[in-house]
Amino acid sequence: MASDVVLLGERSEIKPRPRKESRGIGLGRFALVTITFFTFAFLYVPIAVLIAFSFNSARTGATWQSFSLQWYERVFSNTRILEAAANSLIVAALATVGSVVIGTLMAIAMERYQFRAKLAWDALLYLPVIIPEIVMGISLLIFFAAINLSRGIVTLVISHIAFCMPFVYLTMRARLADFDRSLEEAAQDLGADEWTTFRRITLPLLMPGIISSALLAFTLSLDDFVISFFVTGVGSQTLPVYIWGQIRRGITPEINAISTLMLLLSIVLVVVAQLIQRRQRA
Amino acid sequence: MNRRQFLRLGLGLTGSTALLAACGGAPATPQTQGQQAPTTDTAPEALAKELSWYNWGSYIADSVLEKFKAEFGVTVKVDVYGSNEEMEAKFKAGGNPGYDLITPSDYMVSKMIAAGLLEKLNFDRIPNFKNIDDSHKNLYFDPTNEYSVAYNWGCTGFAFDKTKLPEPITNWKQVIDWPEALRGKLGMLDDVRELLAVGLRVLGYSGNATDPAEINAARDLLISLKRRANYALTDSPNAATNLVAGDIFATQIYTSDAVTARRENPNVVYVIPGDVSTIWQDNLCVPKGAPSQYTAEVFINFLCRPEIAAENANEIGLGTPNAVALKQSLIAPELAEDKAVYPDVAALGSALEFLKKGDPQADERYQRAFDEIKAA
Amino acid sequence: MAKILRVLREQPGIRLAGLMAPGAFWLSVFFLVPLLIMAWISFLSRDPLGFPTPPLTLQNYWEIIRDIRFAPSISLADGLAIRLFEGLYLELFWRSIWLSLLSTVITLLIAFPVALFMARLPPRYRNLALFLVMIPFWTNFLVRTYALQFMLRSNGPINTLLRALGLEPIELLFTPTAVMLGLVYGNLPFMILPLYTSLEKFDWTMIEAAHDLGADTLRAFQRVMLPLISPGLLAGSILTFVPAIGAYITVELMGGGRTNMIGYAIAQQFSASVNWPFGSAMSLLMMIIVTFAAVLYFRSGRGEYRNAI
Repeated sequence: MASDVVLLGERSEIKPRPRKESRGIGLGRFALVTITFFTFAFLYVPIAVLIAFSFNSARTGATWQSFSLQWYERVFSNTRILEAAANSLIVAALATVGSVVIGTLMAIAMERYQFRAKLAWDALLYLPVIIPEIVMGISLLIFFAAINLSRGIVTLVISHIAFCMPFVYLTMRARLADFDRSLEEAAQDLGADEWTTFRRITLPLLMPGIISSALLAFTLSLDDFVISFFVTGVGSQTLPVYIWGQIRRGITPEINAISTLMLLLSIVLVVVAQLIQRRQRA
Repeated sequence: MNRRQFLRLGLGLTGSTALLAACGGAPATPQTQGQQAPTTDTAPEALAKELSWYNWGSYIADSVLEKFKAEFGVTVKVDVYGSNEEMEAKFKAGGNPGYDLITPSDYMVSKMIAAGLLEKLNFDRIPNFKNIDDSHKNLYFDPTNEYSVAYNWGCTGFAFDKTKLPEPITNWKQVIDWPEALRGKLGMLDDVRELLAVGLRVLGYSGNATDPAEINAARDLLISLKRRANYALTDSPNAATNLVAGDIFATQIYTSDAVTARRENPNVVYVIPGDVSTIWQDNLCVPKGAPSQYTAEVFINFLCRPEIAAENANEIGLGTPNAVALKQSLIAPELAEDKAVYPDVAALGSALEFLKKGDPQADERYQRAFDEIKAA
Repeated sequence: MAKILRVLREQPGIRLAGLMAPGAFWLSVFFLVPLLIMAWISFLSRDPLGFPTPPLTLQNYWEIIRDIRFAPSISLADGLAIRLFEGLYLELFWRSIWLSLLSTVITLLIAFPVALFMARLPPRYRNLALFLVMIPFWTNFLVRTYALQFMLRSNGPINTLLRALGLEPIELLFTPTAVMLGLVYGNLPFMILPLYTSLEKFDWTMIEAAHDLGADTLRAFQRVMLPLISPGLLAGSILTFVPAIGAYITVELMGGGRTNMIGYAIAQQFSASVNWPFGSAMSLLMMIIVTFAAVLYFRSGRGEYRNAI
């Protein structure tokens, strides 16, 4: 909560805030909390429905019949779906790492340096965002075939990094735009070299942005199917591709079950990553 | 083995396979084994250890795959696709990624033959082909029947909740004359040809019309229906869900989904409207560049055994073309006696037609008409 | 080895090159090339099966614009509609852009308070909040959309609640409202995250300073906050607007085919009706229009905005 004292050097003077103002802020705060609460409810209620239906004995998602664990049983005996889930997680993890690294580097370059081709790269970086997925999928397929790269996990990761990177870049650029360079300069004045400055000043300050973009990238990769469909090979199908492939025959609550499981797994992975990171910092 | 260990194992396996595949620069080929197939009258060849099948989702009973593995020692790995065109696009743009077997629908078979994407089958290795009913052989898409073996077939019909409609639907004309009172409660299939076929058939034309005038007339009919009834366009499984949930009272739908809907809501009635409707057939084919055509053909032969075909059909709930299975009453009575799953093709005769695609002019005209209906 | 590195490090521009290289490589190879492939295909003709084949032609583009004619009209059917031109695909483009714009604005109105709330949480709760925003999107997209569908059904939870309260049930599913809901739902995180990133860095004492200098909250917001968070705002807007235009599965599932969007028409050209050259032409055209709109959006902003790109 913003303090009531203005820290502006000579001009610091505590003015009594008119009563109307503080009531306004209180109201504003209430509005914020309310909107946030309802937004999260809006986000989570369908998820709750999704999870609930994984325990539904009926096949269609139209009505609730009775409680049943049959779909979970089916999931665990369905090696295909488990493989697909595993593929999804590997690809998402690798793609997140790759795209965050590349995207951050690029954001730093574009934000802090001036060079002739900058405008061109500016434009180019919006390309991935505006190109329709299906077009990109097919073009990538043609491309991989042309250079004779066999389709599988490798092509998947490459493609995923490709479409995640711009999202990382845009997020990181937004973060860098307002970056206070004086801190870095101070560190250097105190004798730190470039790498140390980066590691101990820049990186920690960028961390919220990095986490945001990593989350974005992970999410995008995990859920992608249009592009993934075209660049998978034999046996490397990801979960969304598998699920989409069921569409003509209708999906069963088995899909709800695996989604719930994937969700739990993702949460566990992220929590573990966070704990590791926190331990490293301490 | 707990789940985490399993996943780690799976991850490791997948990762190493991928690395191998990438290094190899060629699709991971299955290792051949020295095993012989029990029934063969051609020169003995080795069965591959793995068979890669690019199939529709939920389109093969797991028990059948297990039986095949137990008898022949071959693991069948199935990757899934959701539409013919997706599968075609992948093969066309990038070549065969390494599949031994695919399951294209009728019109896709003719397209792939024309594009040179299919291998001719060696029917000496598929003696069980004789079990397939003649009505499922030598069809328009493969007149000499050299490239395909019928796998499953079904129809497009109409399902409705009999408690919600004033009178039962028996023909498409009633659909076109949908009452204004029931506005918003009708569903049609989100498929260019299926939708236009309804209009064409009501007007007395074939669903395969190529004359722009006829297609446009059908389009106009469907636009006026849209203005009056405001129908929803969905895919077939969604149509079933919508019907069961009560959001729509009647819908164009595929057989299998109608059966699903009926199982959850006994008030659902499925008919193949008296006038005309669509019949489709999915077929087993071997794509060019298959790592082991021999293994694929042995598997096809296996699938043509009456008891195997029956087991599969009973599990999936679609019509099998295996005449012997039907004759030997191996099909579950619930399905065999259901006129929706096994309509009397002979009686309906020309009323059931295949929807043919591949004529560029006609295809474009259809797509444009569909876009215009959607824009209306 | 270390000596070589040291020499390299002293080269001017080497750092820049190092930073740009991986991204530049990825962009060029995996985006530019596919884009060029697509552009190439858009100028080819179609073979009988719908795949690209020589000769080069402008037929595909012509097919899109050929029926555009000047036909001014005003209709009050559902809302005021003033039309100057008519054309099948023109309408499609226009309606898609308009709907996407609307969904972006709605998303922004919801996302901003949420991002604000998150940015002002005690630091140790912020990451948790971020995760909570993303977690729903770690479920499968299709299943999630079906769950959304279920919510809106005539016998679904919302209507059941309404009936229990004695109110009239609303027909929500397969309406433009449902489409809007689906689009906003799917795009919320893409607006929240960039906004949060900007807001989190925002120096709140600036607002205090503005207050003390006599500005009321609104002016403080407009003159102080807005320019400083514009990078996040712009990033979020682009990341929401563009996918919304291309979104066709959400539109079809939630809208029941009653809401027509360009993404669906394009997808059709690569699936149901195989006509790659035509689909590529539509895609290219859409991309050009969207780029044009984005550039206008940027340039129309004040000077501060420009540096955000």
